[in-house]
Amino acid sequence: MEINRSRSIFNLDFSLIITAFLLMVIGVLFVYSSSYNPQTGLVGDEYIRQIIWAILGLSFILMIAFINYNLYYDFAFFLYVFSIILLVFTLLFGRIVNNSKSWLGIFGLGIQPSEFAKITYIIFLSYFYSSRKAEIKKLTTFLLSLIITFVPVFLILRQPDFGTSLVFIPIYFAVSFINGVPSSYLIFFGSISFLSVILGVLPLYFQRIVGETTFIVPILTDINIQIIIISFLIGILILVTIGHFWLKLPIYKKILFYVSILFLSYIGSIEFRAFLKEYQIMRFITFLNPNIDPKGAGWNIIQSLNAVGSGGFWGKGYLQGQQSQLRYIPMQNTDFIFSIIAEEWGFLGGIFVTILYMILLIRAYITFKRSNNLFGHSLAVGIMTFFWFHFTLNVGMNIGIMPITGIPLLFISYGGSSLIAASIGVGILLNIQRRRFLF
Amino acid sequence: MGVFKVADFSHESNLYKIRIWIIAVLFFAVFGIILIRLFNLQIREKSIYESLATRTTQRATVIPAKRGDIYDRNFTFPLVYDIDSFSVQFNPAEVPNQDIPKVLSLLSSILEIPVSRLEVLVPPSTYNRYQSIELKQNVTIETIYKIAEQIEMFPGVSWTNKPSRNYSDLRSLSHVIGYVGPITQEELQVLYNQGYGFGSVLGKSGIERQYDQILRGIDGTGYQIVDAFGRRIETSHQQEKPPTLGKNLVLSIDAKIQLLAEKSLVGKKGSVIVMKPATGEILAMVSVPYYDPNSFLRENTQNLFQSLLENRDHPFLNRAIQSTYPPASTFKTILTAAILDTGVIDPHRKITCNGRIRVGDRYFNCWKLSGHGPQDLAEAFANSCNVYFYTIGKDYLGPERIYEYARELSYGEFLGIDIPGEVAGNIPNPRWKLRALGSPWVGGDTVNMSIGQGFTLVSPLQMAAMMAVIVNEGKLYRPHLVKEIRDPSTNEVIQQIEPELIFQSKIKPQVFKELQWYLRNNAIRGNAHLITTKVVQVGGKTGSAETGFQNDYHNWYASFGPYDAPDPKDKIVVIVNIEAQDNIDYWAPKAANIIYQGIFANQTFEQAVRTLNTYYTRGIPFGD
Repeated sequence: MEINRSRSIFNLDFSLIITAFLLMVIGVLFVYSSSYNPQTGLVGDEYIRQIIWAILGLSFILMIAFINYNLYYDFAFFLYVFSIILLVFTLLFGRIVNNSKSWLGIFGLGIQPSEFAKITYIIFLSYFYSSRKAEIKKLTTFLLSLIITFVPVFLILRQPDFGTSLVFIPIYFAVSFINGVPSSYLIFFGSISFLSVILGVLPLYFQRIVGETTFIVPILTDINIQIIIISFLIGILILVTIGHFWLKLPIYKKILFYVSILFLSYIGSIEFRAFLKEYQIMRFITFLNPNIDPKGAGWNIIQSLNAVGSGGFWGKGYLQGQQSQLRYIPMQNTDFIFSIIAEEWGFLGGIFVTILYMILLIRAYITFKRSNNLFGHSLAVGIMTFFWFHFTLNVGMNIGIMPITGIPLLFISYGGSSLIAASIGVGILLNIQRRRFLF
Repeated sequence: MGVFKVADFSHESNLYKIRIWIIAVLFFAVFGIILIRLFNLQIREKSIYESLATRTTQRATVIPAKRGDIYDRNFTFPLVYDIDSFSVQFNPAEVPNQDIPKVLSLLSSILEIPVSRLEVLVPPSTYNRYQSIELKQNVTIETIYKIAEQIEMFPGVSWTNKPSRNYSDLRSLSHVIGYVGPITQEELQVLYNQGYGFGSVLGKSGIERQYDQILRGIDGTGYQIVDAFGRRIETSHQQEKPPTLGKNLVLSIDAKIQLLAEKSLVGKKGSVIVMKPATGEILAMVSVPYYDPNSFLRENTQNLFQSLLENRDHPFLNRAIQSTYPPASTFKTILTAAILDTGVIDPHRKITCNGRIRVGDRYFNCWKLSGHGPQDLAEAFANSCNVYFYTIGKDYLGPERIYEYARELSYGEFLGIDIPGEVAGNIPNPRWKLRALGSPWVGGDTVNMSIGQGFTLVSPLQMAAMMAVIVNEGKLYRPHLVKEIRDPSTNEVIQQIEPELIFQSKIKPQVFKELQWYLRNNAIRGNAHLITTKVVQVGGKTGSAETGFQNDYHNWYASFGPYDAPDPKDKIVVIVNIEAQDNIDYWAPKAANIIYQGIFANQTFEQAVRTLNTYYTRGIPFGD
């Protein structure tokens, strides 16, 4: 057992720190660029704030790195409850920004509690599974975990902030998966959610994006057909349940499994369409063909694609990006900041940023390997998923393969709360690594 | 602290290994997809996005042609000219839909137009349309600066230099000049293929309308390459089409004489025409009341326009060419011409006026109820005796003859003056009365006609033409207001308007010479107390008409001078018509007196009045 093999000072994973630092620097650079245009020079001072947050972020990284992560285990519940309370406060007293009540003013500063809720959720869910290691395969554990997940998701959905609430889902699956929750449960739940969304948007997809409705739309939307299908599926479920209990053949269980997925997804899709308004669904799927609404929902996507594509291999040069300078891209220092990077630094720049995130994920992976208890494993996977999902959805949105969901690019997008939450994540990873030889 | 030792799950480490591998592979696969997509966008399809991304639009802008200036005959400074002003436009297709309301509300405060009006101009139905919508005209350069300085706040906004017409202090020339305004739907339907389009500005009345094609020039087209904010990125390669400037006009009007004539009306309703019979040039055309065309160029002119239209005194009416009145005693000139030309009676023969005559069961009075006694033609004409002329008309000439001679003195026709709105008046005869009124001609009609009352109607312009025929001894040249057309940059004369003979009277030239003598005699004998000017020999005839309405009388003076000018080209004709309140005022000849004094002594109104210093000039208030 190595006790004092310190390759690095204080046993800190410097490649992780440097990667995070580089990403923050890039963030400052491009927040600056987003407020700059050649005619009038700088038009905003957001970059100064970004610098302040970056400094704060670095401080958090170093602070959290030295806090024993196992402390969170003991305080997990309180942290979770505290974040839930903050979310409720936000719903009641929050400020509305961009049509969403997601900001809370504390001592004159604005914070987004939903960003920190992701961290506390990871912590609490990890604590929950770790403390129930023996009962991990039980249905009750599974159901409880769903409740733990839905409370913050629901509160954030009410702001409404669809993108942020979405982040909790892959985190849930990854953490549950790594902790040993039975795959069948996860598949069951995952398929239903996934299929509900797919079936939910399918009618509008065919109507607006494809243009022809075919037979699929009435199957999903016509009330008469709905009654028929539901009755039909209920009939099968009853038959199969009877068959299962009477004949006890395993095949009935399988049929029950898949049919109930179908049944619940079908109902789910109806609820999906009832819950969301048409324009919200349209905004969601416009990315599949932004030209159907080029001046409305498709505008952001088209502008972003133009910016990215026109960057070419070498990019147009820092501060030379036309799309951003010409202010074509809305929200260009938050959701669409990657398109500025892609326009000004080109393909090389895009690869560079992608590689930096890859390194982040790799270091998270290594943290996983180096963690010496289940809690640490779970935290590492949760934070890894957190980083991965933000990257995937944000960059995907910028390049037109993901729907518009409005979540930031961690460390880079303008915004203090997400930067600090991400920094806390890095700090926790560092600490887990630090303590790999301690027991 | 609930810490678990490594040993606690080492037997499950394989399971976890697999699980973390699954997660890792999934995550990195997605990275791969993203990289492939980036490659596609930026390397393979780069050119597609590049052309989309340059997002520059080529704008065709109209380079408006400067409208020609209008000068008076002295060609010193322009009476009417263009001044620089701008019009602000908005192109909704260049702005994302959700931002358009914000841009409009910002524009509202800078342009000082209520947001509601802008929303009417740019409704949501136009949001996707690539079309420049004009928001406001006559915008000052300062407002343009304000917009230009913060141009990023105003995507889709552009401006063009659109000169606006300035009518500096035209006063009574407003009727002659007219005004310009934006083209209406009805006009566009007619003029669409003659170079007019939406938003064209064209003349609506007067010279501006009559000579619109000459004044307006041809707009040019410029091309700009602009970014989303309308900032010029580079000069376009497309050839600019320069505008053709509108040509300048020089009127025959003499601004000094116009002012003199206007003031000589001392604010009374009426009209004046000063014309040069030898060429048909009009030196002054006054119609009071007039209006100020500059006031139409500001916003909110609807109310002003409406109130002017409803004004009882009809300020838009050009009384000189658009109003007709009974000629009254001036018509005796026609009868005199008929006597001299036909010789139905000897002009020296005396006819007695006893104050009235009887026709059928009616009596027709002379204005002097006690009668003038026996008079020959010269005396009767100088006295303006009604009974003499009743007798001549009824017993010696008859309505057909009178009609014929009225026509031989050019009455009853359109003269073709070069501004719109002319009316032709009416010279009655028995055929006309039967056709138009369905009743037969009676003796009383002849009697009335003889003294210029009844159905007879003439406009001041026609009376000027009548006098011109007399002065020209039988020829009439078209009355016109434009003297020259000049090149706008060099001021060279492009076209000189030549006199155009439009009428040749059959009356013998000798008769006209005699008529001139009778008119001169009238001024010396009959109106000496009125025509007091010593600087020119004036000949003319007064007339006072009743319209039958209470407090509505017309007062004429038809005149010419100098009687003794050796070169007929130096003679002018002055017609004054006053819409009087009573039959005592007789201002018309007094106004003419002042006009002749001012013209021939080269004096202003104020100087002429002081020089004349007659009983009626002492009450004239000066000022303005």
